Amino acid sequence: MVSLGRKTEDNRPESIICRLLPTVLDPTKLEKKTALQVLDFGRANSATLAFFNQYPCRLCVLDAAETLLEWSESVAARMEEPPSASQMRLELSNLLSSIGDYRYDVVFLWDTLNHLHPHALDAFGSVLRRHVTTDFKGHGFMLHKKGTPQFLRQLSLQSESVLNIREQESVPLYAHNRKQVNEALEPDLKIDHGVLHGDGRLEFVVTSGVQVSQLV
Amino acid sequence: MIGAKVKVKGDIVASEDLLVEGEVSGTITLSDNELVVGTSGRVEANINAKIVRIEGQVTGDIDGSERVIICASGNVEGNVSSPRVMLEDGGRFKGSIDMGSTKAAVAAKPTPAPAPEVHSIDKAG
Repeated sequence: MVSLGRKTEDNRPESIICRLLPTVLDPTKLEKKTALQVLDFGRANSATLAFFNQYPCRLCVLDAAETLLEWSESVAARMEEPPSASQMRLELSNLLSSIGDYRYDVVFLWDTLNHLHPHALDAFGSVLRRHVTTDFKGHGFMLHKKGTPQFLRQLSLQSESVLNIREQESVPLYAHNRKQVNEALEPDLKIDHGVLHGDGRLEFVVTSGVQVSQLV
Repeated sequence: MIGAKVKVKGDIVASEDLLVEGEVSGTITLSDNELVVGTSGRVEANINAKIVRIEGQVTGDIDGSERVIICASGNVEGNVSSPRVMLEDGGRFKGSIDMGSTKAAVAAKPTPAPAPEVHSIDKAG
């Protein structure tokens, strides 16, 4: 297990030390890209901007958490007659239209998977597949252990291996297991690595292509 | 200055600095000057200026040839292109920030230009 980083006076974690993030932000790989495309599902913040300033890049910020939670609530309300897969893809594509016609090399998912109703996972996988490069890497977290406290967190980059937790508000989220997520990401994408953190969340990296899965 | 009770629809082209506290929809072009969208300013326009400072709301694409500053009270939805983008904590932004295109354009000039940089401002000021 990986422990959390610094904590505030009331014992809330202030930062997260990530084992997998350095594999996503490997400078030798990022520097090879002439125009790095970065997709951030989280909220814009100065720390993440400052980090990517090192690279000639385009950073697309979606600030999608609240939008996706609202949408998931509407999906839940329609589950007596669940929307079709194509309808779900259409709705999600419209919500995330800021993604544009780009393919991204790095995707910060943060806690996005847990903002999605289970019925929305396939649509999310479909949208993600259409917007990533063949050698992309996506990084995020998901609730793993039962009873893990559920928060709407605002995370930002402090360094290649440390994230800051800027705000967190207690909200009910949607828990999924790794198998469900991988089924939604198939056939082109998969959770390639996972590291269980002390707070009950799984840090994961999503990649495209066939690679040997490894649970650290 | 466009005051808080003024609404402008159309294209604004100016060769002096401009403060917008009212509402503007259209385009704003101040090629060699600074645009400030004040705390009560509401702009739905594509903006082209040397320096763009946003304390209010902007929906549209922003091209800042020198820098773009999104202040703590600022809220921007659109695409930003500038060699220097500054985001104060608390400022909201949705869209893309292109830190490469300006660099590429400047790099084509014979004299070397400073690399694009983003400055962090950790406290609202």
